[in-house]
Amino acid sequence: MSAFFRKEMTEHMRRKRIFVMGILFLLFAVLGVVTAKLTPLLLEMVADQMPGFAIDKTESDIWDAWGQYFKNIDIPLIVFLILWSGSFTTEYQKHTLIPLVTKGLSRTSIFVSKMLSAALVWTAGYILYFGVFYFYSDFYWGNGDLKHVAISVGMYWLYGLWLLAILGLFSSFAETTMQVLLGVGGVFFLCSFVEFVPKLAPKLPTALTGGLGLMQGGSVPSDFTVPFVIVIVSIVLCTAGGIALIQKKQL
Amino acid sequence: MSNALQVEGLKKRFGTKEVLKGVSFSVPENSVFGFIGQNGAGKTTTMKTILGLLQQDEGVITVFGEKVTYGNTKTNRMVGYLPDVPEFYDYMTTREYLRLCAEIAGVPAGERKERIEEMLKMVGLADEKHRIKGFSRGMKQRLGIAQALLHKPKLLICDEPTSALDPTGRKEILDALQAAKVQTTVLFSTHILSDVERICDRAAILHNGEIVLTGTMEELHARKNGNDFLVSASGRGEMEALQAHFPKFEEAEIVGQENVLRWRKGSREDFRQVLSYIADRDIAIRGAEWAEATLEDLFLSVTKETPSGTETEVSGV
Ligand SMILES: Nc1ncnc2c1ncn2[C@@H]1O[C@H](COP(=O)(O)OP(=O)(O)OP(=O)(O)O)[C@@H](O)[C@H]1O
Ligand SMILES: [Mg+2]
Repeated sequence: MSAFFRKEMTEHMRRKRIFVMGILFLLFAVLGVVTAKLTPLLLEMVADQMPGFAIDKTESDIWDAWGQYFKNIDIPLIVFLILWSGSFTTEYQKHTLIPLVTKGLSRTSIFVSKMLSAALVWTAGYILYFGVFYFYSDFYWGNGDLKHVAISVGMYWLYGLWLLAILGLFSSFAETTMQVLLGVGGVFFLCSFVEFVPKLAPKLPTALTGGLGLMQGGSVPSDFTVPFVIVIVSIVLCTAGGIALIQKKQL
Repeated sequence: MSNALQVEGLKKRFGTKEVLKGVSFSVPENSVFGFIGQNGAGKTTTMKTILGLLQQDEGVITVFGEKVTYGNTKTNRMVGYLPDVPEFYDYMTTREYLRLCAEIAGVPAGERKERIEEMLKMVGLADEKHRIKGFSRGMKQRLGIAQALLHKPKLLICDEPTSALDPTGRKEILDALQAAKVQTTVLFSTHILSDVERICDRAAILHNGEIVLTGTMEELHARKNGNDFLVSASGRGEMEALQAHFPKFEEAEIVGQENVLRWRKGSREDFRQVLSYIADRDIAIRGAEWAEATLEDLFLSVTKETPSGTETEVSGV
């Protein structure tokens, strides 16, 4: 188990996945702060050039900044999912797991190691993203008014884990990387579609991306109980399903 | 002697194509077993089923008495496997890869380093410091053999171990397989019949989805319907004396040679008797020749026309 986990981490390192994710998380954290800081200035410049173009705000505030936080994180998450979408399927296609399973490595270990190592990278990257962003937003605007920081921010982290668990489930039986991506994309689009029903939207896992409202005090943590429970249950089910399916997967 | 591997009534079809139609054979402990068959005969399919990598439609496989199941199979603890086209993590060096294998296979931490170096030396990769990316097919095959033998498996399964190797490599690997026999049982598939003759104790020929022939090498040799042997007597008298005692001898018509006797389809025992008779009576001869029929002749004869359902058991396996 630990040997294969280490193999996974070596692979993430040498295939430059960790490097790419580190750069992205850092870049988008800084970019979020910079965008929040510069947007009003840019708007002001545009307004000066064009008479009749009125703006009501010339200073950005803390909520603009944290709005950027929850918007920008989507890109590292998507890249993360794309980079990890072939983690199982390339091994199936190149038959690289065969020498290992024929030495007695259990398929459960393979699945669990792969998921844990991916979750570790997502978590570490997310902490980096949060840390950098928090530091700069505090520096420019002061984070004093933020409510429920840990829960607001943690919800998006959990949302990332949820998508990763779905990726794991599809990886346990898919033949190609494309199938995995289509599976995860399909689930995402299904959610986006159901989101149009106002009654259902706050119950969907995608509701966990709405940490901004919680920070501002527009919503309270208990508003997220339903999506939280759904996400936890589906992570457990995806993991159990993935472990069950990979047992009979032709390697 | 107990069996390291037993395959009974193995059937497998891919779609409508019935590849294995009831394959049965057994490999006794500490033997080297050659698994022979034409391209597409189903050798790889059989081996993968033994490793739980493919699910059979029917049949039972046991490794040291333990049943093989598809998917996670406990029997793999005892096995080392060289796939037909081995693929490894190309971002690792040979030593890193073998360390991973050693850890997974449970080689004790204190023995790993020594064992890895020993294996790399055996397969001729000891000086290779680069990552596996860019290895030639033969180099991958050598690494494949190293990983298969690394943990001293009780049963070693090699799918065409010598197919990509140069002549030196082939000799080294065959020697290694033969040496491995002391502590392990070897099953290997091949098309190269001279390899089988060189190192195997037993062999089986797979043809049309069935084992058409199996047995020890001696039994297989005996199966070759005997060999012709020739004795050239030094004179007419000697020739006639021999022919009188052994009526099976007939005079051979060979251009430029006289007084030559031929014994068609004789066994080694026949040949031995003739030689001892010659020695006892002190009959003058110019030479005696045993015209060895090769395993190839046997292979060609059994794979040429074998109506299905006629399994030729040579031995009491
Ligand atoms: N996954 C598969 N799907 C469909 N047919 C298959 C599959 N695997 C093998 N076959 C078929 O089964 C037959 C036996 O293949 P196998 O690879 O076992 O032969 P082999 O004896 O190892 O041949 P070779 O000497 O070329 O390695 C072939 O006709 C092949 O086309
Ligand atoms: Mg083959």
